[in-house]
Amino acid sequence: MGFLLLLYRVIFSLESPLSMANSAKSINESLKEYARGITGGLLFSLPMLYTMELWWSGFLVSPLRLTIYLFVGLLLLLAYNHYVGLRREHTLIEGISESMEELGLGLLLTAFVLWLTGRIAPGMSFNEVSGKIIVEAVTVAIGISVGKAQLGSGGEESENEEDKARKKNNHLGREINIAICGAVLIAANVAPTEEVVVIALEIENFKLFIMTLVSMFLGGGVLYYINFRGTKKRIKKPTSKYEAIAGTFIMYTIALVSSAFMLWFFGRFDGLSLRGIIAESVVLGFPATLGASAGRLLIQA
Amino acid sequence: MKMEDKKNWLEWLVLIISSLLVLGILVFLVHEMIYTEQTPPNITVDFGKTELKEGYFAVPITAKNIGSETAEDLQIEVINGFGNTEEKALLEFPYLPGNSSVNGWVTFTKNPENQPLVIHILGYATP
Repeated sequence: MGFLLLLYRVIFSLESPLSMANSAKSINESLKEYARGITGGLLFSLPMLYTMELWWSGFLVSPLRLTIYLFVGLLLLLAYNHYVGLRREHTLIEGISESMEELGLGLLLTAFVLWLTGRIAPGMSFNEVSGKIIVEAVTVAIGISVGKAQLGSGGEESENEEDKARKKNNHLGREINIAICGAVLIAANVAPTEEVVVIALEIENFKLFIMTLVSMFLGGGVLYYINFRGTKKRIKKPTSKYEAIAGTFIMYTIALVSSAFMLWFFGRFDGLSLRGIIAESVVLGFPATLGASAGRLLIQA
Repeated sequence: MKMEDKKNWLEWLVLIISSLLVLGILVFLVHEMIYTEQTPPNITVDFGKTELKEGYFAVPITAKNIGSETAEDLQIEVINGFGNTEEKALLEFPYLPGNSSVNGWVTFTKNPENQPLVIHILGYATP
């Protein structure tokens, strides 16, 4: 009986007999953290998991592109965990293990939802199944990371320590990395759809130009003018008009480059003219801008 | 001072499973890149046992792509009989990925058991 009680206490770490309880989280806390992560993953990527083009791209995308996508996803997770996710000073190994954990959870969660919705079934080759899972799991993993870091209620007290850690980091590097995460998180839901291609191929040039202007005004406004949540703390106050304009250009460049990468990955550039490539990037750049400006602030609130 | 965050057994378990999964998938992808030759779609079709429904005969069909690339908008025509009694059935699949199979049914008003069915793969696109 005594042994069972001890076992129960160790399993649920209510009051662990070992000294590891000093800094290790209780199982209960870990479970809650994973649940927050899973909620975040679903919140940001359930639209993707319910999109046909994504299931198809799982078997249309070559192994080389899948490998590159997985690596880029891992790098984004590392960057996000380094700058935002781990609210304290940490070693590189800790950052890597946190990112591995999130990517692994992303793969498992994606596999489960695809199985539940009947997208993974007998008769499919291993290539098809693994492709489908990898294509979706990267966004799910970023969602999990954001969910773990942002959806909890206990983050406030560690704010000071986080701020201290933040000040030591390179400001521009941090901003660029988090902006890419925001852009990917928001635009990945739209990137593989046929709609981007249809809009890009049918849109008139002057409307494309207006879309560029709207994206830049909206993104620049969020970062520097409309007092969006978190701008005071997270965005360096521009000393002149030119600095705000430069900041807006950097943000829009990030949105366009992230869009182009996602479109290339989903095979939307194959055999396309230069005009088509630019048009598609601008069309997807619109949601990506929202991710790189407003999304960026929300995922590190 | 660096604060090491100690992990409990659940976190270790999740980390180990996750790492194995991620590394396993990377190894698989690299293996695919190096050793698997990309071959164009190659469609084969198998029939199952004909079933008598109300007023028609239904034949189960399995189309298999033994190539490694995906066939898109695959159309398969199945012809039952010839001459005046000829009946044609058409089956369409939006996608048939490499090394995978899809199932479907074709139906005829005359019993196809009496004569061999003729398969005609009408065509497919390579995306």
